[in-house]
Amino acid sequence: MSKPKSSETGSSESVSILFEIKFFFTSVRTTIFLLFAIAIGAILGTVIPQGESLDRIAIFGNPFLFRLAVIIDLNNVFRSWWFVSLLSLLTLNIFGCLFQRIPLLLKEYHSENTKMSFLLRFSSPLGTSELKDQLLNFGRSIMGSSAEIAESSGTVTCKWNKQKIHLLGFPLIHVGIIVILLGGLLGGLWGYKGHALIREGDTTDKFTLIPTQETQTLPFSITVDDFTLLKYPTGEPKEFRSDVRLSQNGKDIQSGSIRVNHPLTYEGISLFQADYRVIGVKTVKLSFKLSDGALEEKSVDPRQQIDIPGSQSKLKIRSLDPGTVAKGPGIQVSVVGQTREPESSSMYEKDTRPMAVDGTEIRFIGFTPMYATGLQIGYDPGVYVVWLGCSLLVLGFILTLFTNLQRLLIEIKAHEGTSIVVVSGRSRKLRREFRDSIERGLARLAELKRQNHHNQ
Amino acid sequence: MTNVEINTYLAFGYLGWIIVYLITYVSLKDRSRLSRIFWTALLVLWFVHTGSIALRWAESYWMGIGHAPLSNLYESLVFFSWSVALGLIVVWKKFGEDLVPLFGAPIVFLILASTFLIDPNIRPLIPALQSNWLVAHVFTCFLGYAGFAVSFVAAILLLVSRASANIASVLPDKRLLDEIVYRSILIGFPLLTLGIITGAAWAEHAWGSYWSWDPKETWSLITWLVYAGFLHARLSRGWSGRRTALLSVIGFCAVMFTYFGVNYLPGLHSYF
Repeated sequence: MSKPKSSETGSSESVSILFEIKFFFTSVRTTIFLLFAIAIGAILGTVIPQGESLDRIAIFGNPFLFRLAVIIDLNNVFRSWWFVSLLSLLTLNIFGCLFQRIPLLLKEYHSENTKMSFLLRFSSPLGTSELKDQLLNFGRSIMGSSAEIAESSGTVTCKWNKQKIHLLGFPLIHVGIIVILLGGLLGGLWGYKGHALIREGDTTDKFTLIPTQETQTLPFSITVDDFTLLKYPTGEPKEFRSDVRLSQNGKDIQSGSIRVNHPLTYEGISLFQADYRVIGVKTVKLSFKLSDGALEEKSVDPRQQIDIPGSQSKLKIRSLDPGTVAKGPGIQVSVVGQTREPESSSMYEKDTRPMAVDGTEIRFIGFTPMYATGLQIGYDPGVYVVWLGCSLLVLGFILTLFTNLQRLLIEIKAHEGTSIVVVSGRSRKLRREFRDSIERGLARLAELKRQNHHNQ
Repeated sequence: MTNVEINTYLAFGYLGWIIVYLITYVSLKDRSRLSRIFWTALLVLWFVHTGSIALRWAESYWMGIGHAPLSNLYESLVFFSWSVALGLIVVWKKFGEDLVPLFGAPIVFLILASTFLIDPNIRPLIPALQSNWLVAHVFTCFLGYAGFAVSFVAAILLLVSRASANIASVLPDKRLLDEIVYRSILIGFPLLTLGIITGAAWAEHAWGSYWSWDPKETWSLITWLVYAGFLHARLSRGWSGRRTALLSVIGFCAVMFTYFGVNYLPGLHSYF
């Protein structure tokens, strides 16, 4: 659609401005400009660290640049006024283009717009009905379907239409994009993201919002019954899993496991396994070999004083070395007893000699860390809208790329003992190939002679 | 023989193919049989390439850490060069033009050769990467990149052709090159769209956020916007020739930045 000169739009100023605005929103030039503007804005948002205070960004030592950076929210580009405006303009522009083009697509769909892209004329000595059969076969082989045949006052008209659904592709793609943007808006306005670090065995209903770091409360409590960490033989993490129970007002409402890529969702709020921390020692495993040879293995709470079997003394674990030396992990213990001086010692996993207390040999076998699981908490009311938009977009692409609207019209009329055949066609994509295949096919029908009229 | 060894021979195979084809192309008068021979040779190289990727997949299972070979820099480079080779083969078949594959093959070689500098070991997948969305995402993104790479090669040839009439006489017809620039983006763009969507689905499952504007996600969007601009410029505004070729080159620069450049920016995607 070309822009008429201002002298043609009428004398009133307001009409002209309205027209300019309408033109802006229905023009593909605007689209291209907006696409590139958003791209450049997004580049800014990647090279400037986002979410950090502007003071920390070195180049803003220059006060003018600093003021500029503040005005354009350079450290929060993707929620800045100008970026959101660009996205809104793009949405309006897509709407405008759709409104303008959909009536034309509807007309084409209902075959009201039968402007063909090429026209070929032939003459043939054969009669109309003989020709009709040959041409119907030809048409069916090209178009893959039967024709709509109409006969009136000696002229036979055969019409083929193929894959009109192709026209749905363009609107679907663009409606899909609008829906995606809307979904993003919904999520941006009403969604939130947070993080909670919960120790094994603990229950909490609080979490920290990202990025503001405020504390928020969930409508339910999370209890972490167990956290499991599995590693590959090479030491890299294989799986982290939290077994949780959700409860409301003291009643359990849902339980399950949360693993990376397998979140748990309740009433739209999703819990994701993000990471974990080691925040202490859960149990320490010791082995006790008594003087009579009996062997006992015990998993002990590192905070308690432990009775040493076969002895009156007690052992307390002071600290645990997770493995800073070649002997592997180890514990530092103190032994107290009624009949002895307090004694401190260390035991390592790879020690060959045990610690001996009153005839009992004690060995340190291993320990289980106390984990705190890092859960990411998310609520996004727009996410299903976004997936709907994506589906529309993908469907639109499939229709646009894999279907093609084609029309073929063959008219046969009798004229002074011969027949005149007029063939016209239209193809939305691959026009030349369509026309070539028609011309080639018709050339093979020996009884047709091509007429080159000057007005063809 | 391991997949890494095959890849090494393969890289030199592609290089040899380029050099021999170039020499014979320039020296011989009758090129019709030449085309057939080198077409077959390229197909053979590509099949070996496919085999090497399949072998790596199998090897990971033999090691007990089975996963699709798309999870680290080494594997993505091998897959990227495979996709570009595939793109060149498809363009050769559809357009019957052998110079685009000839000038595009160095890209295949360079990408594959760059793997010599990267750790080639098969590693187990960390939890975040254990997802079918990962496979779909990496697969579609790189096929999209391959389309853009082929477009880039044709665009460069077109721009060079326009710059010098001498060179233009040995290069393919400008309209054909223009058509290749456009058609390969027409294939790459939906694939990139699928790639972004599957990436968002994966992010949603793993971290609860289908879009967090991290540099990699944002740059893939920037790339998408540039090519969307290209398509609108071509289809609605009738741009062609020099302007669209330039857009194709800019788009490919965005692709390269999305793939490699973002690793130098702060963010989440730096697995590599």
